[in-house]
Amino acid sequence: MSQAILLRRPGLFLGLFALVTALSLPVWDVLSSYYMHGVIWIVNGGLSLFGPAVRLPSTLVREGVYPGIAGAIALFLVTPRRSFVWKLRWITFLMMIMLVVHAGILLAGAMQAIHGSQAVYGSLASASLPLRLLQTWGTSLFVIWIWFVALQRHDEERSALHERSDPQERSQD
Amino acid sequence: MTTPTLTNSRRRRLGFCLLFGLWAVVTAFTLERWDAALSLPYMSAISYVSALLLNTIGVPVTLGSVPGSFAILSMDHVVFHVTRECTGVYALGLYVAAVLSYSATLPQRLQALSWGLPAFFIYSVARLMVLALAARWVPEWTQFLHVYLLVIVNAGFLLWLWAVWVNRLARMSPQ
Repeated sequence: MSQAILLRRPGLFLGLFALVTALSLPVWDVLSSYYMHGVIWIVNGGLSLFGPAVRLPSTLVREGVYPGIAGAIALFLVTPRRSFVWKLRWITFLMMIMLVVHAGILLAGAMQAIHGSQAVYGSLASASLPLRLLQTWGTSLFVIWIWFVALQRHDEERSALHERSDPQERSQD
Repeated sequence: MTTPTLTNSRRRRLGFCLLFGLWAVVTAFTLERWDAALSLPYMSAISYVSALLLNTIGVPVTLGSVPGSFAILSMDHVVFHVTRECTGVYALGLYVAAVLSYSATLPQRLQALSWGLPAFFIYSVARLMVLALAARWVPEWTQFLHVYLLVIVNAGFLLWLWAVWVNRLARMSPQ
């Protein structure tokens, strides 16, 4: 990432981020059950490979709401100096990655419960170290990571555009 | 065809993203592995200062703990279990990872950590106090603030702090 001014007004960015997150949380509260149905559908599809008797409990639709996704979407929405298309494209990509990450967490938990002696499904204390780290750090880490990658890709695209439009300035970069 | 400068710039950007992932994993493992030496004292200190300040401003709070697990802030009608998530230690870990990954000199990184760690501490204390005050004055908002908003805003705070540092570096840069 270049040392260009990243967020010209970091304070405004933080305030907007908190505001948009606060406003989007009630919306996410409604949509999260659909998201969880999708996650559970993927995980149960994966579990069916191991036998027809194992399925995730449907109560997870209410338990695993992953409110961090509302924050993740807000993060991209309030990123300054980025086009609507850029935001839409990266939010879509982010949602796909989050779906895979959350399905992976639930699947790993289920597999551990099946093969181990874990009494309570989803218990953080009894989860293995990689799974525990994924559960506690996973969403934040992936969201921020994807955001950094998105900013870096944007910088690259701008550099390429700049290079094409003004070849003489290229050597001065 | 790209110029060498552009290639270096691209490599630096790519390197930042890769390094951030690596440092984040290292930080996560470190905080997990040395939980008793790092996260627990941090959590205890935040809980202690929060309780002290709340009592000072006239909100009676009793501080307790479950040794090796979490701190307890007991108010009139509410009991808060202060866990690692409540302290923003994960966001702090990601901030450290972002600082270590960015292309900067060692003194610049040390400077970022020297103001970042106290800033996170102050932010976490303020966050606990806001929760305690919300529980006292607007208890219907406690759940929303506790479970949702203030947890997510941790990420915003770390990016804000990091952006302030990066902008400062950009202003100091000869370019």
